[in-house]
Order: sequence, then C-alpha cells, then structure tokens
Amino acid sequence: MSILIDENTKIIVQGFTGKIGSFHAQEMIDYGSNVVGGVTPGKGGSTHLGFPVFNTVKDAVKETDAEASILFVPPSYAADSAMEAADAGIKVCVAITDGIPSHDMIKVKRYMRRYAKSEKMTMIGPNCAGIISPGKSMLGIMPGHIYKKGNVGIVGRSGTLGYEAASQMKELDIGVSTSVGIGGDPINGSSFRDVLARFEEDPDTDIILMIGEIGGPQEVDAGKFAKENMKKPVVAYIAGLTAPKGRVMGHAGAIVSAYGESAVEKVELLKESGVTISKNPSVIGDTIKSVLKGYI
Amino acid sequence: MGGGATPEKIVKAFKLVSSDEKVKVILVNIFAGINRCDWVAEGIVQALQTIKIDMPLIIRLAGTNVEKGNKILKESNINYIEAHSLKEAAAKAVEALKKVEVK
Repeated sequence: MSILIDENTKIIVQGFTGKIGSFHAQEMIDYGSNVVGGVTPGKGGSTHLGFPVFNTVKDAVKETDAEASILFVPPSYAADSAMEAADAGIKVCVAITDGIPSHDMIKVKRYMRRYAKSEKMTMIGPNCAGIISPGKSMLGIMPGHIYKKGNVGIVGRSGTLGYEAASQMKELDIGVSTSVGIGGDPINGSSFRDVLARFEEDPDTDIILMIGEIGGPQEVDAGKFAKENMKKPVVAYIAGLTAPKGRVMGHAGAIVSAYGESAVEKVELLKESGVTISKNPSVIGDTIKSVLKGYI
Repeated sequence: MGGGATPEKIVKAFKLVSSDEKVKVILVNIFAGINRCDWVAEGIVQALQTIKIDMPLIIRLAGTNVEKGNKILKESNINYIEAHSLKEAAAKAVEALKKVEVK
C-alpha cells in the first residue's frame, strides 16, 4: 500500500493544455501514472497527449471515473478549479499553483465544509510538489527517478528539500512509501498532522520524515499529535535556523511572527515530543538510516 | 530561486547577492522539480555575460534535465566549481572561502 495514490488511481490534469500542464502531464504519463484525461474549458472534445480533453471536471469524471486531479491553473482561477473538482467528486486534488491569494484559500476551506467527511475531497497544496508513491504513481512535479520504492513516508513543505532527502535516501538504499508535499503557503489544504495520521495507518510505512520550516504552528502541532497518537517514529528537519524574525523567506508562509514559529523553537518543541531531528539538510539520509536501524 | 526561474530572474538574483559586499563566495544549489536545470544553467550563463562576478562560484545542479544543465555550463566558458551533492557543494564553498580569506 501507500497513501493517497497508487497505480490504480485514475488521474485528470486541470490546466491540461497549458505549457507547464503539458510538460508535467507528460512526465507523469512517462512515469506510469494512470492519467485518463484533462480539463481545459473551451477545448472539450479535442485530444491532447493522446488523452481526451473536457470542458469541465464533471464531464471528465462522468466519462473517465477519475478520482484524483492535479491543478496547473493560474492563481486567479485556481481556487475555482479546486472547488469544481470537489463538487465533481474528485477525492484527491493536488494544487501545484503558487500565488493563490490567501483570501481565495479561505473560501475553498469554507466551501469544503459542506461535504460529509466521507465525501470530502482531500486537497494537497497549494504551492507544492505534489504526491509520489514510488513505482506506482506520480501526481506531482517531482523528478520521479530520484525516488526508490520503500518504507519511509515523507511529508514536507519544500519541494526541493523533499527531493534532496529522497535522493540522499536512495544513495543509502532507503526507499519511500509515499512522499507528500503540503506546500509553502500559509493556508493549505492538508496539514502535517493530516498526513502523519495517514502514514500511521499505512502498513507499508515504517517511519516518517517531516520536513518543516519557519512560520506557523503546523510542525509543532504535528509533533504533539505524534507523541499522543503515533507508534511509528518521526524524524524531522526544520529549515531556517538562521532566518531573521519578521521576514518572509521564500515561501509565503515562511515568516516568524509568534512564539514557537522560529526554527530553533520548533526544533526544541519537536524534541520534547520525541521527534528525532536531522541537524542539517545534508544529513537527512544518514539520520533516517540511524533511526531505521534502531527500529527494525 | 523558486519555481519557474527565468534567465531574467537569475540575473536579478546574481545582482542582488553580489551587491552585498560581505558576500565572498556564491553557492548555487538547484534541485529542479518544476524548474529545469537547463533553464537555470542558461540563466547563469546569461547572468555572467551581463554582470561581472569576481568571486568563486560553486554550482550544484540536480533533478529535472540535470544532464542538459551540466552540459550547458561545461560548454560555456564561465568559471565555476562543479559539485554533485549538497554536502560536496557546501564543503567546496567553505574551501573556496578559506582561499579567498588567505588572499
């Protein structure tokens, strides 16, 4: 198993015919993801990359039974596309788009409250790298070849640091069950805690790597959740040890504005929750290796 | 650099970083996902044609289109130190800094 997606997950691409959408749709198809079509309003009825294009997500779901989607829609329309996906019955939606206004994300979160838990779409991102279950399916923009199939779950904000970790692990012959990028925005669809809960339930995941950064309470919340509810060990790396207070560092959500939001404070609080810390980004693989040794 | 780094963005980044007189060494570390190493490499080459950087430059590329990116860098005549892992890039940057400080 794996979490969120596997080889059977039927995928549609929203913003299918655009330049970025086309490139990454092709990468996903080449990886072996079960892409069944795409959506670009106004281009319904045509074919792109050998797959049907639909005007709406509803049409696409009706014709293809798609259950997952990936958004390459420009920021000003992306929130609408996410709500359209939820309404059409998509179960997992990855929003790659960077620059969706926070106000729009609040609207999306509120919109999602109308669905019963069992009917609710899981949104991953925005401003994220997406999801990969190595050897099975890629619903994202990561370079697929750097992931080896295995038993470590990865969840992180930063795409690049996720790739860094996966490639260091591959060098050490350690594989990944699923890697989930939750994105660098202050308001996101799924939190660290949401994803940790899924990994705890997944029989193929033995330990979890959490890659956090400065800003917001999510890493510390996840640490508390791990301490109280999880049996599997959690390893974390927190980026931004030298970041000054009050300045946005790359990601919109990466700003220290309250106690517990700096990297030093997050590291301390996570240690108190029993999380093993990787002290710098070039030893993430080694840290995972040492924890795996003690665990299995 | 963020996703979708265009050559213009890279020129701007080099200008910003090199305008700080405390900066003695530049380390470029790219693990490309939505970015592509060939775009980044082209950007670096263009940037170095536009502005003069007279300090050691360490470049580590990985991820999408890494072979194309490294080829572009090698075939250009820019002066740089190549690294393949984050650890190696950091070590080479520190080493280059020590040499600069001795001078």
